[in-house]
Amino acid sequence: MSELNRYQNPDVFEKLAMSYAAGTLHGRARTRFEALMEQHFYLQATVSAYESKFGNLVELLPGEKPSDRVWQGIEASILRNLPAEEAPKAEPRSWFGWLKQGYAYAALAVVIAILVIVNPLSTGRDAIAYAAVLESADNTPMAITRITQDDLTLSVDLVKDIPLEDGDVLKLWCRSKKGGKPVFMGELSKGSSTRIQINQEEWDHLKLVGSLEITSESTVKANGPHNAILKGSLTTITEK
Amino acid sequence: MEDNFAALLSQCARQDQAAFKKLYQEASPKLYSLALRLMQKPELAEDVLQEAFIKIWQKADSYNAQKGLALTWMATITRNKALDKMRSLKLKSAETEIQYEGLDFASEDLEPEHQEGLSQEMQRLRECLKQLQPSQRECILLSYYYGHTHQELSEKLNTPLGTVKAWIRRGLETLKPCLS
Repeated sequence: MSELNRYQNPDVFEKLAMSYAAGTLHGRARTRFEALMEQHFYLQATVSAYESKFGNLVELLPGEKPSDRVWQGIEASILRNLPAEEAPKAEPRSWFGWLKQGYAYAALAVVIAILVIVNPLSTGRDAIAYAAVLESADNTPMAITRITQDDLTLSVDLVKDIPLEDGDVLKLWCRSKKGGKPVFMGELSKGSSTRIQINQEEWDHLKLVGSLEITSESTVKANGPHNAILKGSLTTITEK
Repeated sequence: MEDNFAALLSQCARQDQAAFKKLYQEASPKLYSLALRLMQKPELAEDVLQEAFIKIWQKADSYNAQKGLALTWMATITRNKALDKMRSLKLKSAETEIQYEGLDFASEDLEPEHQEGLSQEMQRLRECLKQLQPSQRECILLSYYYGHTHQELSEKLNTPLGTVKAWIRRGLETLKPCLS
């Protein structure tokens, strides 16, 4: 009997499907069965039926709380893949932390004022939030940023630790949609999550910002050579 | 009984992130517990959980409530992600430092308040499992929760490989009519 015929025999394939779903089919037999399952709907359907039975076993397990980094990673991945039109309504909770210092506020105001003059863009629909996932050079999501209108909050959550030399800090920069030189916006706090209020004027100017960047730099030089370690496009989130 | 997870999944299919976060908060402890037992290392289990929930978000619209409970569907995704990772890392449970083991949580003598929280589907499965001999039940549950191979079970239970295989085969044969 050929292998395919063997798997078309209900007595054979149902046992194998049951064994697969229960987790008792291993090694090459499991791999072989998976290959056949991809080709034959009846195998998939039988496995699926048994998986829905054995899957109930998860109810007996004691609950264990995963660390917060799991949700941060999930959120980063999902935000990154959402088209702007489908991006979520932002929740009023911890996010960004630039502009904690007054000078950073002033810097943002100046930057955005310049951008307004240089490039007065307009959008069809009003933004309710902005979001960006900042990625490392190898495209690993490292930080999530959100700016929400309802509470005028800027926030940055670091998804993964970023090793810093002694005396170095993370600095946040923005670039206008037309490009040009990055503009310093402020330092991130030492923790993994920072947050600060912005004012309405600063919010209004954000529509001109195209991307955000984070650099790791010495505290001594406020505007040293620009070497972005994280970058991400700023996505506009509108009402559906 | 109303399947709250199914309602949340339905909202997730419409890209409702708030519903997805609630789903994660409520379902992740059980799914992480499953991933921990399969992977044995918290960092690997968290990677599995993350990958599983990303898939849950992406595939939420393919969940069919007629085919089973939402938690069961999510458990299958998590378990398959864990097995894929074990395979890609060529990880064997025997090679890791065992932190999670045993089947106390699946004991036949569950506390009454624990039993009340079980779905009808799980209660039916428990009745089916009770029909098995203890050794058959133990092998099947250890395979499901911990991903043990026949060889690993043979070593763990200090029982000949052929005997373990026979226990599993007969156990599944007994379960089949009950589950059908």
